[in-house]
Amino acid sequence: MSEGISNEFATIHEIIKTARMNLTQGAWDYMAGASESETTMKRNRRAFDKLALKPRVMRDVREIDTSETIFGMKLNIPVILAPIGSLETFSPVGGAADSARAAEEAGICHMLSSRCAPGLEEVAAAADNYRIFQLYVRGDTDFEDDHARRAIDNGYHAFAVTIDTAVYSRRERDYANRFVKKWRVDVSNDEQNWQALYTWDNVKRFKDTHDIPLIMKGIATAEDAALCVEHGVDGIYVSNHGGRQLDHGRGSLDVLPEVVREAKGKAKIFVDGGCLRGGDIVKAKALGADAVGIGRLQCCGLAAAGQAGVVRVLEILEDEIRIAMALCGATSWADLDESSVIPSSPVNYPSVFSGHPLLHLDANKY
Amino acid sequence: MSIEPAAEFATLHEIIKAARNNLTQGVWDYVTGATDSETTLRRNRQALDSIALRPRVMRDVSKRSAKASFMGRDLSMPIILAPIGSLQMVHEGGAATSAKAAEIANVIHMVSSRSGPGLEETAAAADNHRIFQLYIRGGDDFEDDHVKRAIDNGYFAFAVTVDLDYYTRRERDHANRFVHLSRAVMAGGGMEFQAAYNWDSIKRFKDKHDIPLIMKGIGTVEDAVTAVEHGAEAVYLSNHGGRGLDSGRGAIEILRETAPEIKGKAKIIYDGGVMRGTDVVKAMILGADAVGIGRMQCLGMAAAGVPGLLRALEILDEEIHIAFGLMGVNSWDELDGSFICDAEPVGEPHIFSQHPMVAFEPHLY
Repeated sequence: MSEGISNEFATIHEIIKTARMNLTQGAWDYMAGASESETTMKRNRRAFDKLALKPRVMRDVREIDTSETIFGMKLNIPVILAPIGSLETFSPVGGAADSARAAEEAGICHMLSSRCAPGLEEVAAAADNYRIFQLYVRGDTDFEDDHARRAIDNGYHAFAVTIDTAVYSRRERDYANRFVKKWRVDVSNDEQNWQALYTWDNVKRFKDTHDIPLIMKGIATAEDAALCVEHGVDGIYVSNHGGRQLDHGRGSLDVLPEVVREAKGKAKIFVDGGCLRGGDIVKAKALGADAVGIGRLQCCGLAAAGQAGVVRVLEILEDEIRIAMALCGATSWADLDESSVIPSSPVNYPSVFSGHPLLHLDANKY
Repeated sequence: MSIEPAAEFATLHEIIKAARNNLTQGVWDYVTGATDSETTLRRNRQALDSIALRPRVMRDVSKRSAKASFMGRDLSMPIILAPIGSLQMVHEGGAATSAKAAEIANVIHMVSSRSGPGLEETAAAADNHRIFQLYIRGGDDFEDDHVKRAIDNGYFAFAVTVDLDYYTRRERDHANRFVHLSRAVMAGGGMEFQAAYNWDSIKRFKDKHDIPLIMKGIGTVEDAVTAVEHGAEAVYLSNHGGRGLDSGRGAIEILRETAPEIKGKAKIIYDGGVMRGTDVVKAMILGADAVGIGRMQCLGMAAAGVPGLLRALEILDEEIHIAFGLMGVNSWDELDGSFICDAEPVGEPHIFSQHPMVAFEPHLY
């Protein structure tokens, strides 16, 4: 267990604070913000905030096993670094390679976004980590096949296709800041249209063509989860894109139980959206997720201190997970199930970092 | 012993303010903070704030008494000064300060094994009702030694804390780089015994020792029932003031689910967020036999030592008597579930939400 007090970053809120200082207003808002009214993003937090963990006592909890195995990857904690476009914005020197190296150091998985620098081969060469490749569909079947082949050749354990971005959303903080991302400028309407016309037939074609586990990223209903199972999808990634796509959606953790009912045991289940604490990960695991994605905290770690910042975030999360498991009387994930959580009342207004109430950031006025 | 309550404090919030002035930022945050996001702490208040009292009128309430009895002890009110580690950081007398106040106010003091001046010294400091509370930091010999010394020194019950198998991340302490006394001394030793402690340990305790056993830190009805099955004389429902598992339920929610199952089979102690006499009334209505006072104890001591703590208890006592009068009852026996109902909380819950006149500048971390 890490000794928080002796470290430069004793808490995650100190990492977030440092990230805030290191980022421009534009980059900060791109990361912290969401689409339109940001309701979906807030509901991600609210979904965690309205559940309580049940403390079970008088069990021998000297040894806690926090690990989880997915697609042959034995993860030290059931966390994946979620795919994020343009990580080079947050860690200008290493970019996505910093996340890959942090994943290796922490013994977890990095899911690389296709909208990142350096690219697929360079990031794979940068570290000997568990890796999954995530594709935005920006071309025809040749484009997809080319990426799938390169992913297999470069040791990616699975291949994810993001499907909740058929159209790009209105991120109003970016509008207000007149913040234009280079990687968005590069995308022509024609390219974006490949994403818009992606359907279940493409999934069928992928499964028929390629021999690598397929993850559909951005599932937010039981109905679509059932279709994933029907199409032989290997991993279902429950996500609303961190509240950055469809606004007025449900919180990811609110969606998780219905997806688990449809797909548990038939496909691996990933979830992301608003996860800020080890206790959040414990809740998601109790409700049936196999692994939890970390998006904004990853960006904050990178922006605070590059690879070391991400490693420190993961170290604190592991510490929190271990403590929460022990106090719930669980020595491994098998000891937790839906009876480990119980509805309770939220006690704060949800916001992007509301899991860290000691954080005081000046509000930027628009 | 004759010490008068500190009359200069007209309200509890004035005591809180004086405590704030007397404590360093580090100690203040140690006392008032909780684990991680402090959600459990706030849920303690939220759960209490979600209960309304129902006033009954036109009854003779001229003979009100908050007196209560707990495990054969006759008390001025059903209050236990909850066990707190490192009390000597809050006031130089440490646990002895609480013991003296307990004697004068005629309530119970539960002495933490992690607080100075120590088991014998605290017992010698006052002639009060006393319970000893142990954190498991050694094997059977360690436990047996403490039990023997507790019996020898007039402790009438023995509590083992079971909800802190792992020490939690108190982020205010981390942010302040604050290492408190008992943690500094404890570094490197003994936590593994707490983690290994299980129901067999309780069986051994009950077979071996002849002193009432209290299991402190039960947070589910399941574990409460198991505690009673193992012969525990009292179940202390608590989430450690929000300082154990974060994202837990408010302690009142735990009391609600547990009391109907074990009432009468074992004594029930409640703590978590008690900041007013009406909070004590609510917990007693929901099935508690006694109510623990943690932070308010610290704040009374920090404000003015024994007189400060006595004044805090005096105000709680007055608030209980007023609540009795306005609810139309003269004693605890007359209260039942018909005297409470659900209500909307009227503010954001936080540790001092029951003292809305306390308005400190937020400390920036």
